[in-house]
Amino acid sequence: MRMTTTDEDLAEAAANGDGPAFAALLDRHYDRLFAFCFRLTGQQAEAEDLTQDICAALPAKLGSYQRRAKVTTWLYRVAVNAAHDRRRKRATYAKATTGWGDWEIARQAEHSETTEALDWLTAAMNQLNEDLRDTLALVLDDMTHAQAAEILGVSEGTISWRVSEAKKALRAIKEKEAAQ
Amino acid sequence: MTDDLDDLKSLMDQATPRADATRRADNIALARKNFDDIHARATPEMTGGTGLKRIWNIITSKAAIGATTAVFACGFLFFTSGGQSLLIPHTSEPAFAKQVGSADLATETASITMSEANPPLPATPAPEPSAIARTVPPLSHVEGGIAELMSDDTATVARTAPQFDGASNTLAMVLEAPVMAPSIEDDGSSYATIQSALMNGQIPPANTIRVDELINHFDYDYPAPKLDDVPFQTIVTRFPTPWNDDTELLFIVLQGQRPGGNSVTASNVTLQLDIDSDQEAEYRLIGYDALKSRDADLTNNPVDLGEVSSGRSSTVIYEITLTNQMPELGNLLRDDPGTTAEAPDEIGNIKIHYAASDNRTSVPIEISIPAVTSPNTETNFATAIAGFGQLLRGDSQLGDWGYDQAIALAHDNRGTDNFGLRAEAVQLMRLAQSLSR
Repeated sequence: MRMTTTDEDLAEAAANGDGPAFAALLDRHYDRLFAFCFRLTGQQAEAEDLTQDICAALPAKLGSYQRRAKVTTWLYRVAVNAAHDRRRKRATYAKATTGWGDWEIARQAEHSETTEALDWLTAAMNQLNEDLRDTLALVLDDMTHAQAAEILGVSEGTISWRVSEAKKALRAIKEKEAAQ
Repeated sequence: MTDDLDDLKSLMDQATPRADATRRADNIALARKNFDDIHARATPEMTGGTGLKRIWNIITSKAAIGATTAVFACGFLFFTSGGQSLLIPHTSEPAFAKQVGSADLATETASITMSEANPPLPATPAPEPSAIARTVPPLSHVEGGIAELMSDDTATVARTAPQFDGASNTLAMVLEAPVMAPSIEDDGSSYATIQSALMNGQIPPANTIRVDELINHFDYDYPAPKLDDVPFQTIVTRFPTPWNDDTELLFIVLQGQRPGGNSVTASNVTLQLDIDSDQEAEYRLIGYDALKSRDADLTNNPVDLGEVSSGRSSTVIYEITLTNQMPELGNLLRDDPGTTAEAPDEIGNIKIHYAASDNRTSVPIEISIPAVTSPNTETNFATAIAGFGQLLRGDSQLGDWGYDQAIALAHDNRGTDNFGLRAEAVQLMRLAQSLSR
């Protein structure tokens, strides 16, 4: 019966202590959540770790779920916050890059069409600042600007501006390539 | 040439790997474990001591239900990470799993602090449950029971954490005077619940009613925030309580800056009262049951407001009793009734903290609690709604003040009511009144 239960009902039940509801909710959203984490970080290992952070924190965060919001919106918000926490930690405790993807892996990989594409994607994403990358991570998941705005806690206008900035930057990269 | 983002999207889709199956299983297991840790606490010990059980019965008896309805407040002690982080400063690297653990610690600390603050509580005999059940118990009865309880089995109480489901957390709740979280993000989920229940001819269960949510469901015409460094404006006003001549209401409204180019969200906003040490004050957060007394040194529990978003406002109402005037709300430690005095102008400060934009530092604001003034249309309407919420919850602190008074106060203070929300609320109050007869 659980399959027909809405996300929102599951989340509400989970917030009230219903363990199976919580498990069902997480199972339903895990893969999409992981994919979102990948788009935020560009690295599989980092995305797995970020997803772990979120999973660990989620039970305690359930109290902040308000029925008014879609579960995905709430979940992505938790994810974005967790991603920011990780970035802060990395910036503070390690000299590791806070950029997107992994240059080393991309460059050492054998040259194929796929790695070239990945290379291009990594290069492109790294041209963008964190705000633009976070915004794209949402917009590329078919989130509307309004949803992205709610998740990132900024206005819709800010999202639209960021998207147009990102497009501008991507166009610039392509023009540069075409000129070479 | 297709849209730039379409290209990027297809590249991204290609690049995105599948979640690793082992990690997936591990991560979900971790989440479930943390979930169980949070939800599986407290119950076994609760049924242990006879004193505990007896008091539990007293408090949960029907007539006393008004003193027991802060289940949600308890839940938020656990579920609001901001509140936790305030109780326990993060000195170590804040791994998520550890933060969940620290909720434990925070609660224990809170309760232990309280136990230590009142070690020699007189062991007043608890009244028989049946006797209590027939009368609406003043809080002092409940407190008397707790006095016995604490001398009986303090350690158990200190270990007992509140949990979500049902009244069994009541004790811990009362004892710990928990951190409450009227979240800025809920506007009206509680209102919608109440509305649909009343429309179906039912008084909604007390634990679904969050008074702060009801209040924040409505727009208030508070002064527009000043544009300065602080991302929200704080409006504080203090006026006599309509339902109790001996207390005052302290209204604290945090209003986010209007959305604009530079809109900011202030996160981890917490608020606490700091009553002057020469005042003997008790206060309660309207809509929750824990009575706080400065004597019990509980004022260090901040209210966690979560986020104050742009263009939104959040209202917190305290009912304050200056107990060197009137001890009637129930005083844990005092025996003599004291003398009535004029309300003093200066009674203390409101301390607000919010996370700075770098999210690492906490910015403090201190506002002195103002002198008593007359309420205006906006605060009157909010007070009527606060009263409505408490009536629905069956809170016992309202005395003779009932639906007639709440309805009149709301009706007379509808203001411009552009969208008819306030008029609708008055209708809902009338409906509740007829259902409660």
